[in-house]
Amino acid sequence: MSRDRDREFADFVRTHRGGLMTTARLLTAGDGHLAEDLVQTALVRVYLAWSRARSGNPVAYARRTLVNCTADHHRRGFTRREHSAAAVPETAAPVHASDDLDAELVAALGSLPPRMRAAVVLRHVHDLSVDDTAHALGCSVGTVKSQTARGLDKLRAALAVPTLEGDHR
Amino acid sequence: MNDLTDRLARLDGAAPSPTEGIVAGDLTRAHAALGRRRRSRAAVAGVGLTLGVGAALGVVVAVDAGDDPAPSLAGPSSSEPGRGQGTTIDLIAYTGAQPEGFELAKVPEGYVLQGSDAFVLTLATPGDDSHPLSFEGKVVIMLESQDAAQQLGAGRDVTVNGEPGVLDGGPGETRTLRYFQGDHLVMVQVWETIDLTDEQIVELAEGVTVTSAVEAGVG
Repeated sequence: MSRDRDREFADFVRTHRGGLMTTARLLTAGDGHLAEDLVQTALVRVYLAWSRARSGNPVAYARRTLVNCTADHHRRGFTRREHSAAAVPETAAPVHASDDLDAELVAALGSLPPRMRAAVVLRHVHDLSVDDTAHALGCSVGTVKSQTARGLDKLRAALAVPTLEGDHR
Repeated sequence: MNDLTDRLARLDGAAPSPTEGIVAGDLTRAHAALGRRRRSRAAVAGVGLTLGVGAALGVVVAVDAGDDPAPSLAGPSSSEPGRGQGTTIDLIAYTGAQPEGFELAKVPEGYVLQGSDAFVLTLATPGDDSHPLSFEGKVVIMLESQDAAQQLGAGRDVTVNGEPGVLDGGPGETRTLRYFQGDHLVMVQVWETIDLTDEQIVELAEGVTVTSAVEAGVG
């Protein structure tokens, strides 16, 4: 049983970790190191609940867990695990290249509040339905619609994207 | 055409697959978390059982200060020698070809080198056809992820080749030994079913040499 879980989980990590990293980098507005921390935490939680995760849609489960981890991180504030140290570590974590992402757009996403950013990322980057986005965020469909609409407006303003009159997308 | 939503959609591009070292790191963290949860639940269950039995008997046990102290629920003390269940496995000299990332001097009797690369080495029983990155029933040697804090963490203090180390995990649990070898933070994980004593785990670690080819996983 446990051996099966390890094998299935390892296959899941091989297949979906990259996608989760992309989601995490967008949720953290391009912070690759924080994204890595969040993905690690989310994957541990997914493993602990693997029987539940695999019974449905494990990717959706992992994505929801990742969103919750991100929210937890923002709530923790100054009680994070990291502490200041007198000397920097000798081994620096590799910096994930971010030039494969639209840097201007990622920076604009960073100007959105976390929940609004998550709604925009899930709805318009990963193309989740409104229902699935609401499920992932644990909120109502109406909240997703309002958050994504306001999020797009803010992004257009930040990017100075011209809007067409009567365009309500 | 909506340029903004198109730009957002293009962010969902193909992502690179993780290396096997990263996958191994995720599995190791998951196993450690599972072990912590089991220990926590066992402790809670033990407290609940104690309270339940005490309530059922309706007695209060007065402990004389001069008596022997009651056993702790928190597992073995730092001075407890190993698991105390009668060791059935000896360490024997490793005589096979030396792997890429870690060189071995000893292995548990009845275990063979199942898989190794620059990131992780797995010892398993002969005929174990599970994936080398499935750690159940195996001994695993790897470096702590380069993204993780390069610290020994909590556990029982031990000494490996004169250097400080920490052994985490109690009787019947998966145990993890962390110690520094030069600049490398080495981890030796011994699955809960493998009947090695704590001293044998240290002895096994003292026979491990980190080569220049070794690489720490990311993540």
